[in-house]
Amino acid sequence: MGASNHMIATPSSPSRTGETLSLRKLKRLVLFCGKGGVGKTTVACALALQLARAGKRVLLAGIDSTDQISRYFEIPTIGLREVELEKGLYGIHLDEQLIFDSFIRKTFRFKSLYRRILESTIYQYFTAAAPGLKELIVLDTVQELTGQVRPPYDHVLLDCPATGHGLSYLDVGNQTLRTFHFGPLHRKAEAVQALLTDATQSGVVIVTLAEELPVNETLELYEALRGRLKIAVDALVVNGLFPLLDPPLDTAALEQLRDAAPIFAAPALASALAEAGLFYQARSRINQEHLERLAQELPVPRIEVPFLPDEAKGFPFLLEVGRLLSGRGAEES
Amino acid sequence: MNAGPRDVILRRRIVMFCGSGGVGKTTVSAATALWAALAGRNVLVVTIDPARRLANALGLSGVGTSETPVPLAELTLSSSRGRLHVMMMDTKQVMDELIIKYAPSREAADRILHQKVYQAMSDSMVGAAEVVALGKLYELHFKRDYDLIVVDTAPTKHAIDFFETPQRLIHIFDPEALGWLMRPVEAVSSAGFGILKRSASLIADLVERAFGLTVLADIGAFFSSIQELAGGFRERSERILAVLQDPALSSFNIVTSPQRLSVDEALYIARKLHGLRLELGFAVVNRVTMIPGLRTGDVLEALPERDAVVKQLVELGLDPRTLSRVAQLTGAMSQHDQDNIALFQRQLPPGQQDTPLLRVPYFPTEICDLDGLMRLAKTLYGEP
Repeated sequence: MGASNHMIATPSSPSRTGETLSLRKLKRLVLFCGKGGVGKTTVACALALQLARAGKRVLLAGIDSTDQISRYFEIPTIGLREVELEKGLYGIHLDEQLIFDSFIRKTFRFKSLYRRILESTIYQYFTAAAPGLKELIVLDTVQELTGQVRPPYDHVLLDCPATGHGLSYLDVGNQTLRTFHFGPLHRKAEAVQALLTDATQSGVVIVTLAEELPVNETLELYEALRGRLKIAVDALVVNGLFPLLDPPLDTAALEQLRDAAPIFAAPALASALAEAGLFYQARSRINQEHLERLAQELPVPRIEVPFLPDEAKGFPFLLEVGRLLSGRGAEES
Repeated sequence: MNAGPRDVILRRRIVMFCGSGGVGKTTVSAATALWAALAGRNVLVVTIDPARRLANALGLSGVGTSETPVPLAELTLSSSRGRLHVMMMDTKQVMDELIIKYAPSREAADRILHQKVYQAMSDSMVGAAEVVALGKLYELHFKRDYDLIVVDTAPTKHAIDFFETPQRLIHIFDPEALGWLMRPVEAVSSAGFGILKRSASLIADLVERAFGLTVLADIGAFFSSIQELAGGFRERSERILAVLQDPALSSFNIVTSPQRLSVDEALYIARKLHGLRLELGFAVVNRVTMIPGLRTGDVLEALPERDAVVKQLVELGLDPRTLSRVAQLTGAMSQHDQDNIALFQRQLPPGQQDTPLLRVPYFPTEICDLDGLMRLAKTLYGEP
């Protein structure tokens, strides 16, 4: 159990807003979006684990993040076939090229035929040039996994690529509908589009840090999802926070401590403590400023997760994040 | 053998910064360009990311797609000849310009520009941005207006695929393969088909049936129209690649954060550079927590100096327990960052083990003016 983590992470009692992600309100298909490096994969893994521990059958799908997923669950590799990561929790790697090749195989059933196709230059062109084709086939697979597998998954969690690319993923239905006017790809694009824009089935969880650039991207992402893409945004997870301290540290006093450190009883220690305090205050101040921006401009439930220093520690860390996200005790397992 | 970072910036003609998104690559590029300008060079910094704050930091209201001078008056000594220009690379716009320039006629250019496939591709095709960036870089380099061009590459580890582009381009413009795409919907009626051609047409036929005819026709039309430009593109790409591969002229540098994810991506880039025989100049690790605080496990209560320190803290009105926890947190963060930096150094390919590594401490305030950029530049390279 990550008790020591928790102690470090929330100096004094936590001052979060208390909002948590209700597991019951999560849609069938949950799409995790956000800028790179904000902890999107961690949040997806943690929620998947919480759902599985609550008795749900869950599929966690990564596109370019499966290395990280397999590290958390200590599984050597995750491939194109679902593997069980935990009781009730499955993982899959939606490898664009492999999925596309297998689509070709299914389309042209005879080996001699699809072999030739896969090896031909025209095919190489096609996959390189046809806009959004690979993404479409990947989302088509997601759609199958969401709706047509037996026994069905209660939830499919898709860890989208970092924002720029992630957006082009979710927009691919629109994009390919413009390119393919009829035929099987047109039908696929329609089905994908119908699933993504069905707010009873699908919803986005945006993950961000409370800092300038991630918040800028988050606001752009939200606009695009709501406006152009018409995909529901169900929650915002603000990760890596330096929560306000209780009791607060006085910045002027910390500066005094820093400046006077040389004449203190233990100068090195006094100086280290002062620097630590000032650093924390500065980051906490930046966080507060951007939390306010988010509160004003992004009207969706907001879950705040404090900075946890032990990201490499794996499983206990996931349980801790999951607990903070959902408000459920990890000890329930 | 590696030249130091200062040498790289003072001597090379092209300095590239690669790295994943969100590591501060744009800021490091701008700081580097500013430093070089103050050291007397005539510098252009090319950025992909139109970060508003950065524009403000450079004293501009925005960064446009043309080369804009940055006013350095307040920083420059009267004797310095250095100058700084900045421009943003807008892929779509530059790509349109290139097509207009290399198409044999304005009509031919319009034919391409109005194609659906071109429009979709110029937005989303993997590699399109790289082709365009190379073309623009070629133009800027051979124009010889600048001593140094600093390039802030796209915020993804795949921007490195940029340097494989010429090979890929050559493959795309392979005339034999193009033959098939140029007439994908034509009836296959010629009697003179060889075996190769027959199988290719069969495939075209099948692909058509699976994907829908219009798509293939569009793609065919696109490639046939763009083939007219192939020669120009190819030649430019090859010439600029030769410049990039010359370690006396160009240097590739990595920017990363001390987070595991971006370290992994930085290593991917390093290996790619190694594979392409492009020289890795130096690596910048940005936003490193260097506040040692207390080591994990240390609690203020257990330290020998406890009583004296606690008394003094209380006198200042600081809660010792809160401060102790905060110091433990920064201690853990500093350790975490050190561990990831060590991991990065350990896993660099053999030829890159002696790559200079510059650590930039986490500045809690965001850089929003020339002074801020200058502070960063001095942290990186010392006095210009």
